[in-house]
Amino acid sequence: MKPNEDISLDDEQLVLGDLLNTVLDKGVVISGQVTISIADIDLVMLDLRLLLSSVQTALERQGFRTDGDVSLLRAELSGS
Amino acid sequence: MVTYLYCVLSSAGAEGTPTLVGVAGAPVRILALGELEAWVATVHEASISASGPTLGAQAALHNEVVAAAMSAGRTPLPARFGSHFADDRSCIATLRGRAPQFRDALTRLAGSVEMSVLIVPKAWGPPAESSLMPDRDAADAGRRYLEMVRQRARRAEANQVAVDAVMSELRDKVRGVTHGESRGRGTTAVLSIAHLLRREDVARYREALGTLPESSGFRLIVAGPRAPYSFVGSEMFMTGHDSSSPDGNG
Repeated sequence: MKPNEDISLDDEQLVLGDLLNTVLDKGVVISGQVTISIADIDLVMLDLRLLLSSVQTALERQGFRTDGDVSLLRAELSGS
Repeated sequence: MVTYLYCVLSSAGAEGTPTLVGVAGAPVRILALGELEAWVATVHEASISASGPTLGAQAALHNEVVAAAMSAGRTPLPARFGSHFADDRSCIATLRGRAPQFRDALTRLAGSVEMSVLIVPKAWGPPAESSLMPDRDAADAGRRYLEMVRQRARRAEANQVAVDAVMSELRDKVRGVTHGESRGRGTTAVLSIAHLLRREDVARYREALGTLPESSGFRLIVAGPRAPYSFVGSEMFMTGHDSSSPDGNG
């Protein structure tokens, strides 16, 4: 493994993490938060990092298109 | 089943029911509230008590519904993920009771969008050797541990000073383009700053931000536009299904 490979986050992930943090912030279902410390910097924003790839996968599995600008899906009902 | 709330909008300029599905695959409906309307869906309560990847995916769906309102040229007041009511009647009664606040917020935010700028270190860098947890069996483990704590504190302080300098520079850059700022949660070196600006000023905002000098040690990631989540008081959407609800209803 390359040095720090596990902490390399591309911009897309950071943007998605930021968006989710905003949408979830003060939401009623949030019961905890994991602060991940990377290189001695506490990155509160990255508490959703572990979710990100799984989120993408889950959305794709549901047939939603994902793309880089975090315009993740347009869920218009077909035929309605 | 509960009534799940996405956003509140002015009913002026509304063009029929959106053909959208959102959280838990439920179709989005409109609840009429006089001069306001609420975009809602009927969902199983369990579907919004998710955790892990499911939570992230559902939150993304929530945002997509709100984004659809924005795409139609409207200004939604977005609820946070998870806002829900026992039923439509409870939802309507609660939101009607807050109509003055919604109207004020819509007046303040009409035509505005939120942009987010992330201040990210250019290099994450490995932890210094002295910051690694010492071997607990080592003779000098206590001294090394205290030194590690001190070094971490010094680095955190230095990072904060650097980030504050960047934030100050950013404020200068976007002055005149934005009319609101909200700093993200946390007191950390990587920050998310939300700016409120006119929808038509997005390109001007991106241009104004530009890039940071190499010497800053940080780079910027600009994201958006999105609904003005950071500029809508979350208390407006407290639903009574939250222990922190000021209403205590529901």
